[in-house]
Amino acid sequence: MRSKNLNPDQRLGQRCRFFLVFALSALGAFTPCYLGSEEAAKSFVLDNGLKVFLLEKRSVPLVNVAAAVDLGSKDENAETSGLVHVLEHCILFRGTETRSGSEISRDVRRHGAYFNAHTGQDIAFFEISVPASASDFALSNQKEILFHLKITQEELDTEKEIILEELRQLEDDPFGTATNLVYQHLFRGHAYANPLIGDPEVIKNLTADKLEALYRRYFVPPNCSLAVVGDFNLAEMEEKVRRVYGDVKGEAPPPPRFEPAQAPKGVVDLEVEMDVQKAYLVIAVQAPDFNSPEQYAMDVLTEVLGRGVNPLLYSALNQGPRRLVETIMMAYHSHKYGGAVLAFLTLDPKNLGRTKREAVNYLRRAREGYFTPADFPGDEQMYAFDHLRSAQNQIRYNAYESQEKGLFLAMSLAQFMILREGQAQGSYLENIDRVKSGDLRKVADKYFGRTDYVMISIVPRKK
Amino acid sequence: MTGQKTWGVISLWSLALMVGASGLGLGAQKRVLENGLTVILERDESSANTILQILIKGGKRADTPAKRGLAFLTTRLLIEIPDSGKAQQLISLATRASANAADDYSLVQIECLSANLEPSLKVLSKIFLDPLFSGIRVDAVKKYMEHQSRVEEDDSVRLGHLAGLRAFFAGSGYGGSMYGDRASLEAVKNKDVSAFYKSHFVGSNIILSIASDLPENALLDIVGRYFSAIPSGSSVALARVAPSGPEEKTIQLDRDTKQVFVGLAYRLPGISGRNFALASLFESLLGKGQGSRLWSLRAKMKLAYNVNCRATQMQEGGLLEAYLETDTAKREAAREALRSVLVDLYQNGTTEEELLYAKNAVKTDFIRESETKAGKAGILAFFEASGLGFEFFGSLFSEIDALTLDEVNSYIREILAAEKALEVVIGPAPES
Repeated sequence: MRSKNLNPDQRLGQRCRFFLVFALSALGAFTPCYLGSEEAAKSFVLDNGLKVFLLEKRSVPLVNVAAAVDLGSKDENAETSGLVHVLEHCILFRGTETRSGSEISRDVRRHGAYFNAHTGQDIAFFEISVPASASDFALSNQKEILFHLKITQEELDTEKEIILEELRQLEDDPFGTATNLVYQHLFRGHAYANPLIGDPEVIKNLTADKLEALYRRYFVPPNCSLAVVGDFNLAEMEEKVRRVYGDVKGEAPPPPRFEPAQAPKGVVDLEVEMDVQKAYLVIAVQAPDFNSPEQYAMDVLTEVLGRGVNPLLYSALNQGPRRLVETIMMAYHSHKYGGAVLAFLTLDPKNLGRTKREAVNYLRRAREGYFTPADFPGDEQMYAFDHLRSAQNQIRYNAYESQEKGLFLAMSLAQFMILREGQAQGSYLENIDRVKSGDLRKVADKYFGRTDYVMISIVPRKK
Repeated sequence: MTGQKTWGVISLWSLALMVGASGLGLGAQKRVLENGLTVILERDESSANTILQILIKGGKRADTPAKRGLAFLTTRLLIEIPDSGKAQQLISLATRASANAADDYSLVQIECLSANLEPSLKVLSKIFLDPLFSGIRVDAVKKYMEHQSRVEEDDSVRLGHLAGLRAFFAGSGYGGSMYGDRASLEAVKNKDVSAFYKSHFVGSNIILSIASDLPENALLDIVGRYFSAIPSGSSVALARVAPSGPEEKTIQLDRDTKQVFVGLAYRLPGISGRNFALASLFESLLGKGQGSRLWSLRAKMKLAYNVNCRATQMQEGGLLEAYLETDTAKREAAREALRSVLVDLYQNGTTEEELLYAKNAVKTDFIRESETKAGKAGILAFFEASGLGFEFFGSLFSEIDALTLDEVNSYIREILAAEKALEVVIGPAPES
């Protein structure tokens, strides 16, 4: 996920999965299981096809508006690589039919707004967060930038140069570069392999006409969702949304056709040199997609192996006095047509070879793992750690934490309305609590028990 | 922005940006236990989680240049679980503890499900009261710190910040990384760690800041049960930090990168209510987001994707950094453009309209920063530890609103004088 503005802390990252806890309960039979008594929510679809979710959250005087468009790097090919990302920049910064980019910037600042956008594999996000008193501005501003964009060649050419700077910045970022390469290799032959920022040559040669054609096709109400979370009265906000967005017109684009992602053929092990002092390693495998029932077990397994308190992969690589790695963070990214689990490790470069071997061997053996005391025989149960219970508690904590962030909630709801297929069976946390030790071994066997790992290492440049 | 931030670094950034609010309700309460330990309680029912922050006054400022890293090392050892039984308990509870050393205090943050607060503190408070400073454990944390120090230097933005601190605060604990360096860590002995712990980890030197959905009385009861045994001691007197200008006007650090980091840094005065409001406004006006002064370097001059301004505020001084990251071929253009933005602001000051917008931006940013329990607890504790008092949370909006155009322009002229600037350039060495 690439963020366009200057505050990286509010990006939707791997934590996006945690706040589905809310979305699942909210879009089914809404049960505000841990929201305060003041909150209320409503979802509906406007006549023009725009999917809307409203949630009152009165803890702070803010209103957060997030729009998601069913358009991502998955919708590109070699000739259009990077167009979604360029379009997202233009929408955010380059003006509309009635206001210039500078005027939009001035208005955003005048209202004390946080204003940002992101391009992902599946979705483009556009969000704004304002004081509650400026909710009318937030709704109108998002409508105008999303549905009344004006693209000129001059403005586009200016933005292209900024995007090329963004690309160079990524090339100096060890984990950013590694993640980009992971997706290229893990999803080779599939649309998820397309780089989010795009191909610099395509970007350089891009014309306003070509970009506008893409814009006209996808930025239509039936292809979008809108979530509003914050300090407002539900009925009043519904009236405002209907009034502001009700007159937008547009036909839905033809439904995309994507096959599920296929696993890579064999191991990929690449090393890239950079001017760094430490080694940065990303190990990845494919994982369940956004709608898979296996997602819950994979969430828990990711927590057990690489995220929670004393994760097992970290312990396995740092046994006794031997210390192969310094930090580990594991993330599960679920997309509409596939998923990926990525382990991010920092380590001393001299330990790189051994770490890769031992980490992959450990992950492959996770299908034989004991995750609860009940998995152990006899007296050993007394001394065994309950990793499953711990991970479930961790996920519960993370889910609750995500409830505190209005913008985060708005973005997750907007995403959910685009990606979700079918009716959820129970809330996210209920599904997490249903996961058993045997479920972890099953998903470990299916996804980690393979031989097709992708490993990308960023290593210090040889002198 | 690069996105590889640890919790600690994010926390530092957040606190550096904090501003207060009279527009927000201040529901927090303050109590002082018999051992002198200050407790700030914020009831927040937005989730069933509890955040407990333990601030130990001192932080980097308490480090001597020869033994940089001591504050972090000692604090980090407090969350190293000494035996597998205790580790098992915490794993089951899914309670997380993290450590950090900010400029004026160390910080232990405990995050847990509210239902698990008491059993978590039962384990963690024992470690806190009787930590194990064995050679093996100290060495292990030192290795971790050395590693983190290298990771810190692999990021040009973080390296640029360090360069500014080193230049403006060379003779004090502020002037380096919280992780120290290889030489300073070698100089730190186990007895230093024990002595630091004994002098700093005393009731009168500690602030507990808690945000929780649990009732205040229940929280006070739990806190009293597990933290009353901390010895009262006396608040640590820290040396004053003498003002100093950078010895060099430009620092070039060579890195073989695709982009060049170009920054200008200035020293800020020590923290006070007024200075905090002024620095926060100035930071926003100069470089926070669309419409700020630096934004034109991106939107019009196409010099960078990342332009930013950062005000780090400390008790005995502060650092203002304006920077961008640009293609190596644009190095000189970026240097010139950045300088011109700062010179223009210095010479012509700001306007009523620009100031009003900056006030709006700062206040709304502050509301966002305090939206989460961790954010709110951190802000309250930061204000209390900085000497502003936690009540400042409820008065900063009026402090900001009271600032006049003349005051802000005087401040700008005081800070931005060209002879006080330090330029930091990080990237490939320029061709001669």
